[in-house]
Amino acid sequence: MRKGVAITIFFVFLALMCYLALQLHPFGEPPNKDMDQYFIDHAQEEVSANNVVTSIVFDYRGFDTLGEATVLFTAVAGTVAVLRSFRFKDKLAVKKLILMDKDMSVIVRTISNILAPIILTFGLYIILHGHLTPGGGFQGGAVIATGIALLIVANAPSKVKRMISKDLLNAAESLGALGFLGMAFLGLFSATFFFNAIANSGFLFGDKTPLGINYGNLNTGGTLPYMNIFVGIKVLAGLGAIVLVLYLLAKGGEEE
Amino acid sequence: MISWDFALIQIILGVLMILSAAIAVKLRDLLAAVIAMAGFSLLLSLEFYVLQAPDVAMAEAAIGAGLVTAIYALAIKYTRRMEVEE
Repeated sequence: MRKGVAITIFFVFLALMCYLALQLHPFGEPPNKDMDQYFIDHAQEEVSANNVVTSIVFDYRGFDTLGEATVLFTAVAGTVAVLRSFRFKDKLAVKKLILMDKDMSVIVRTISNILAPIILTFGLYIILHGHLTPGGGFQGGAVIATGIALLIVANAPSKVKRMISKDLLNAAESLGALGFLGMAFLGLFSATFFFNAIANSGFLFGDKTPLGINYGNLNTGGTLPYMNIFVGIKVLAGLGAIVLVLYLLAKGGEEE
Repeated sequence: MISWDFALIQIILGVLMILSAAIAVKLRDLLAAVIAMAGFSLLLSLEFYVLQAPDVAMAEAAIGAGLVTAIYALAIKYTRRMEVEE
């Protein structure tokens, strides 16, 4: 009976979704194109960045990104606060955890040692080229956090605890958030909050970008590369801290 | 009108995504279900890439297929692997 109801609801919902999908605008033709056209026409000149998406995310719509960053900060702070003082009370569970405190097999460790540097380099590339190619601070930080998670999971909890400090990751996350806010406040000196003060100024990352299709100069983008780097540090430290705190629960039984 | 190969890729990806989601629900082994969800995230990131959103595809691949899988796997390690009937 209950199963029948669930299946009926599923198919009604599916039919509704298919109907709505048919009602969508044609692909690539949004209803209000004027603003899109403005971004496409002026992003290279005003923000001096080839990647229009990043220039919208960190410059035109920077305030939205600030909210997004706050959401991630709150999520990480909440997870770490809940898990950091968590201890297993059950004697049997503690015994099981002490048994778990060992490295993974040689195969896993060798593969992770080979793969992790490549993943970390790729993440760094995404962060540094955020204003030229697809990606940016969030994406690159997440890729680097994946590499850190790989390194963490391959080794024994007691060994990981000696190698990576949770407080260091938390400090790095706060530093990234503060740096991002600092770059936002830098715009306040010339015009408004999140104004791109460094673009076209001749400072580091302040070169003019050629209009139209070009090869891409790394030394452009104004505040975008700085924001990418700060957000990247923040995201990799935050996501790394979640995995680390969760993994070090295995160490929790031994301390008491 | 949209071209046929474009629509075909959408349909194949959509069917595969529904299939992997159904597998994730059906499996009793939670670790295998988590891997099925990772496959779902990978297909979703491919879909984002086809829809010309490489930024979102990158974030989805790194977070959905990489980190969420790791966090779920760690959570399963501290609880139990098999789903029990209540």
